Amino acid sequence: VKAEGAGEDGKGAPTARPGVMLDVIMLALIVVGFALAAAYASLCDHSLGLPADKDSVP
Amino acid sequence: MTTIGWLQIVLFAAIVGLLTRPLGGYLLRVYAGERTFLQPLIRPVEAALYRIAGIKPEIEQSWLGYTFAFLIFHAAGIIMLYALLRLQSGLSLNPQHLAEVSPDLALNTAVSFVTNTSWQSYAGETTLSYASQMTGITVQSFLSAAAGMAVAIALIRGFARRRSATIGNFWVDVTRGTLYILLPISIVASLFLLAQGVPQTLAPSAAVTTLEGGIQVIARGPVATQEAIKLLSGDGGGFFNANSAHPFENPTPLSNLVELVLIFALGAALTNCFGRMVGSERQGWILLCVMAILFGLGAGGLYASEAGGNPALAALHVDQTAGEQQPGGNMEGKEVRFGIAGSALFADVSTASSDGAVNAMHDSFLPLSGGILLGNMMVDEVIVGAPGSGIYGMLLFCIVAVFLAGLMIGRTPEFVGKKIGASEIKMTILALICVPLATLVLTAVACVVEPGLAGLGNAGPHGYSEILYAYTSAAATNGSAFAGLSTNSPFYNLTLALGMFMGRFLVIVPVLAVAGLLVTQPNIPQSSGTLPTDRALFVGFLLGVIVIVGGLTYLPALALGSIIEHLQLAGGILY
Repeated sequence: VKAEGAGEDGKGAPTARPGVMLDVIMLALIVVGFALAAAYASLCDHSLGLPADKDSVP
Repeated sequence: MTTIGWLQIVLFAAIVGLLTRPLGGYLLRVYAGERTFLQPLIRPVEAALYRIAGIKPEIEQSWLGYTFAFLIFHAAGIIMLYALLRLQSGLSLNPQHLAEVSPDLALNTAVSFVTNTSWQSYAGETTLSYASQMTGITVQSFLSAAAGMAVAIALIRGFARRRSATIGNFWVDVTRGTLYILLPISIVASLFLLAQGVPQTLAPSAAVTTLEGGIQVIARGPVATQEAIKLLSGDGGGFFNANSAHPFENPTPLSNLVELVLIFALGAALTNCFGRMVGSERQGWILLCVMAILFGLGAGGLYASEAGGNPALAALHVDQTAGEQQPGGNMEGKEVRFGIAGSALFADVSTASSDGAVNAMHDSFLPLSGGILLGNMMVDEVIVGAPGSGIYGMLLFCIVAVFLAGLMIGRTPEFVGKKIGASEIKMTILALICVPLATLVLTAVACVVEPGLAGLGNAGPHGYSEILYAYTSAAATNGSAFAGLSTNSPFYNLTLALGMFMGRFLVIVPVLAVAGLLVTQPNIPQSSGTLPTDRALFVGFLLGVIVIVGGLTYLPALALGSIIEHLQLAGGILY
């Protein structure tokens, strides 16, 4: 795991690109990503037709 | 190649082999909720955590409940780590007064460490504060490994249980994995690394006067505690830019050996845990045998390739033979402390295991060696892999193998007493296909768009290999880098984050679905129509399936990079 962004001199500190809008976009990407993953799981469950999903004591 | 070099490889393999059974037995007891020697010390902490979080450990979850818990856990982890990186300049434990991390890099880093990838588009010592390293990176190394092991155990329960509706409780599995397995081993390993010379301090970087009278700033920090879990977790994200090539992360040959063992220990032990849980320890050894053969081929191939030296230098009549005055072979990008064998072994373990730590620069390896490193990652982390991902990846290939065998020789597709039907195969293929999909599509995009080409450090097939390596590493959740490619740009940060996301979640959702399918089945007794899966024949068959599925999928991509570069190198063409 080598820092790809680092320059040859090892000084690879990124330039900060501050901005609330960018934070909102990044957080929206995270939320959308996980919503899609959850939908994917539901779709798998639906296609498999497994017994009703209930948590229980085994 | 030298005898000492081969002995290093054999010694490492022997130590891992010896640890497999006792550690596998311990994992079994931990996940079965049985008493362990750490119980008196940890049980009160565990109970308190359940009480605070409102977890009822006796209530188990269906596969979908387990999956949603897994997703929620990871979503929370990414958001918290993202916030920490963005706010680090205003938080304490930042003696170097480092600025906040940019949004795209923060997203990349958060996804990277929460998915157990540890891809780093930054240099740790010049980018992250001690608070970010300790409460962000290190914490996620623990949690991502515990979550990976939880998924593996859930799948194993799918094979082991009969006519059940539940595959365990995700919160309990993560908690027990962290408290009983990762934490104790990490504490012992940290103390060992401290004794070897790895620093552990909250003091700022040291400014020292050199012999020439100049001032040199030497970065340091809480390294030992991060180093241990970095290796044990299969995470691999270094405190320093140079990772385990840095003397503060990996000071001695002994620390190098112990770091290697830490990387493989849990992944190997999970094969034994699997065998015991399904009632056939021999079955676990069979899986470990397959992993060992693939590992041996990779380590031997790497060592032979690197020890053989660079053909371009040989053409210039440069002496590359090993002797008392020089280690010989291709020493470019390698630490003299570790030599050819120590570097080749570390590179093989790192890429096979999904850890991604490095003690040499992979970009400086010869083209064929680079192809082996890529191949290790392209077979879906099944060569021991990270804690959890190795065994569940191997079990997916087992399902494909028995299914193909059933089609070819007319045997009923069964594996450890569970029938492999159409639904199990569909979910297995979904899990296996998404890593090549993410890797190849994202590589293709990066090869044709300007922001992708802008990061290249080399032209021709070598530059292409740099891009292919980056996306292979991301989607396989390995995290090691070929280097040479500048990826701290919005394009690479976002597309690599997408690759890591797909490689983690689009694999684990169908894996847990397979667990949910299998757990409802009864146990089928062996009959004359059952293909024996605990014999040498199955080892060969499983090896063939892994190599063919992995090889055929990626062979064209490798041909365009490592293979053609190797042929051109022999003809004196360099990039």
